[in-house]
Amino acid sequence: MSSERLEELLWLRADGTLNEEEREELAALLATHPDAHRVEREVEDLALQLSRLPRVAAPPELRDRIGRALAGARSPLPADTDRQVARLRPKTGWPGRLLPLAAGLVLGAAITQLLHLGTGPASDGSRAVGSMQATPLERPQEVDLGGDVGSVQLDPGNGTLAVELRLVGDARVTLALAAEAEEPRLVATGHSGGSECTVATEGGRVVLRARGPGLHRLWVDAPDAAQRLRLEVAIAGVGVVERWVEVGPSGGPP
Amino acid sequence: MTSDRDAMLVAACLRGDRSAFDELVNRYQHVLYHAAYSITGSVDDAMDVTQSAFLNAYEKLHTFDPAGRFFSWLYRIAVNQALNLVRRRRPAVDLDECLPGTERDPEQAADEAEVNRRLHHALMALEPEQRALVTLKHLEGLSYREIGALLEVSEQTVKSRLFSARRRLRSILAAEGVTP
Repeated sequence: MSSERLEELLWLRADGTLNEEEREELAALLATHPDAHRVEREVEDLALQLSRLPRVAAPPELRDRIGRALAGARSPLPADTDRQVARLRPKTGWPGRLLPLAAGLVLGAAITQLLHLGTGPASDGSRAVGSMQATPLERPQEVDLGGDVGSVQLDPGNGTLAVELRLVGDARVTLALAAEAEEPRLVATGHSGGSECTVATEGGRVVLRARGPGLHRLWVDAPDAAQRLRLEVAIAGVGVVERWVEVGPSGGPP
Repeated sequence: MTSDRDAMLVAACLRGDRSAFDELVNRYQHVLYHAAYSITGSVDDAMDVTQSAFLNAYEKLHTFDPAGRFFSWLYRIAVNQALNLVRRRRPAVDLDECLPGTERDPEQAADEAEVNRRLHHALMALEPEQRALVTLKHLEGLSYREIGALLEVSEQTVKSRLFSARRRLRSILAAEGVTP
């Protein structure tokens, strides 16, 4: 017990948080404990070595990766209505004075949809679309995988496809991106939650496998000549989505 | 002063100025990366965590309480993501060998690099939570209170867990025949 207490007090001293009472207790232990000076030296040396561990510099490419990820990010504006407005905005941003007008339009559209279709918008405010259709994409668009599975959001542009796979259930989902000739290039990934998640390049495809509630993001560049990527999604090994996504030329208009 | 500038940048970002967030990225990418690397022990994981932390912070910026410090909020996101990542990947991942060298004489630099390498390996043998505590205390120089705020535990809990972590670290080093 006194050995443990001795070490505890030595660490408190190394941290500079020893109070007067503890200081006296430590002095007594140092005077009487048979191993006191060895333990004291070891604690001091370890504290010194820890403080001297070099800082690891971030790789130069990190800044670019973060920039690319943010380019495909959702707007930080609060509330669902504002988020829908943000989705309608070009990435360069609308002047602030147009936001209320856009919010009104979105609200009107939502009400119209409720009146005409008799169904409400999806839980996150986005429009649900058929999962097997191969309609041309507008940016961004959501593919519903079912209420107990989740959704995929696609945001193509500038030769890059930003994919966000949002899972709400425990289904195992495989999402693959391929191009016609050359391999697509995985630019960046981001993950939050989920019990399983792997991203790999397999057989010329970028493949994300995920399971459990979580959010997974990929940014994938199409080969310059292709300007489009093939998206396939399977739930528990059963294909549910197959479509081509136009991503435009690299460096093209957003 | 830094906090004031951060608060201004956050407010600008919430008004739609994306470049304001870029300045926050420039300001904090290295410190977040270092913390993520210290916890995960992997360059790739640290890059993923740093990128993901900024992305989550950006998208959830409207939930940030301006009464608090932006950096603390951002740092907490990164530390929690790093911890979640390594918890999912237990046992601990291998350490990427990328510790920076020093500019002192080669022999001394080699000795120092060896000490650092062994210390890193011992750190990687700790439980993720213990590694995070040691990282935050010794590598980031945070106080018990700051660590408690980040990990949402009391100062007393930090003190007690930190003691266990450092005691374990000493025993790992001793078992490897390394006397600090």
